[in-house]
Amino acid sequence: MGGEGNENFEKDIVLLALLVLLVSTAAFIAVRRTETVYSLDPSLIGKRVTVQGKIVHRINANGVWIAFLDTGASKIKLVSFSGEPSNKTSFTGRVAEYKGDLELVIGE
Amino acid sequence: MNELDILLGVFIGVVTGIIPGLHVNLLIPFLGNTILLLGIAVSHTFFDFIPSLFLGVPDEGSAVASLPGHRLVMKGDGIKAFRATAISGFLSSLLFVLFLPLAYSILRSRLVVLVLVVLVFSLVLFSSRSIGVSIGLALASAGLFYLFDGYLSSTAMFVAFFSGLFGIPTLINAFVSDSRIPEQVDGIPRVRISFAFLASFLGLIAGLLPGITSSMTGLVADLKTEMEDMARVFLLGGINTVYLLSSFLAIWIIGRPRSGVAIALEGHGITLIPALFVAVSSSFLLAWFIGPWIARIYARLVNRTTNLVVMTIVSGIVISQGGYAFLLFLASSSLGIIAYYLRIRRTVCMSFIILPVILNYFL
Repeated sequence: MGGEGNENFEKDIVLLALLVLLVSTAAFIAVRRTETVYSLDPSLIGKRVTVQGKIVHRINANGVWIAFLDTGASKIKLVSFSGEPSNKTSFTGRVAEYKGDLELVIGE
Repeated sequence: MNELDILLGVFIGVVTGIIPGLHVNLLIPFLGNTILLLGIAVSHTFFDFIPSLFLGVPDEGSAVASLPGHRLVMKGDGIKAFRATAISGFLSSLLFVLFLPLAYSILRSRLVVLVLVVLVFSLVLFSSRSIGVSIGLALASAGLFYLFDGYLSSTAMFVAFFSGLFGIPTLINAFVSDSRIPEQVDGIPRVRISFAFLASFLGLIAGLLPGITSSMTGLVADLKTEMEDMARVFLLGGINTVYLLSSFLAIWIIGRPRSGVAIALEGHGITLIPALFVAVSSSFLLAWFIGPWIARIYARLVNRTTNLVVMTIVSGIVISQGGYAFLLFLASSSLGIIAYYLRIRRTVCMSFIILPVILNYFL
């Protein structure tokens, strides 16, 4: 392939594209691992997600804090809740299934 | 949602991109809000230049490029032109991130938005050499737009209008004159970093301003009449891709998405940003390695029969949008043929999109 451009140009631009592909794929995987969700559904079981919402209620069951979060779209139950400030609106953890309901296990 | 969905979308986008007259928005009802759609949309902006260059049948984004691009194809430089659009699409996508803060500060003012819209409108209309006929064509297009408003979705309207205005006149002319595409020579086009910057800025503005399409900002290329066709195509390749990226980022800059695909994918949030760059870089690599091969096949296939087949496909796509879409297609084809044979730039007809935006600001 001849041409009026720089002869090394083809190699450079292809390498640059591969680099961008690598970096953006890594970023995509990292972001997706903590994707923000507004309601939990079964497809999220096992995934690490961030839930945005406010704590409406919390209880201590045998030393484990359980909180109920209202996202506007649904109510989500958090276990192993470490008692962060009640005005916090973003919680990250892994989605688990518990007695038929979905809940977010914080801190795993 | 996973990385493979994006890559699968990029492969599907190659197919949708090379089908003349097919708009990505037509796929939304079938694919919903899957990330597959993002891959298709990005890849489509790279590959839709092939029908635009070789057949003169563009879609919304590549419309302005179809005219200088077709001239390059007739000189045997079609593959170089395609490589130019791919390089520009990739580099401009990397550079446009630099303009995001500037765009954010500019577009916060409604007055600035209005001034920019009027400027682009004036550029579209008054850069034509026969102002009287151009205004007539622009008004006729605006009339068609209002006549069919409410009867057609915006996607159906764009598909019918652009296919008729830009695709049919070129296809009819190629059919009548039985023009053959000469042997295409491969090569690396001259890379113009300054044009990649300009494409980034113009694509960003087009993606964020109401009523402005990527083709309209591409008319900036017409301001400099001595600009080479290859340079124009390079500029337009970048604008086309950045326009799509901006339409996604518009949700964070102006508070709402600005394209059908961006609206469909709005729920994916911040994940879209790295996903866009996965799609851009993989689309560029595909365009670089398999694009010239597809372009060569295209070049060999173009003759009277394929022109007729393409006219049938384009008409079929329009008819699938309903009877009103076909009526609009017939009307816009007539306008396009008039403009083509009177040698009036058909892009003046696109000013019909800006008129309602300006009226909304004043009334």
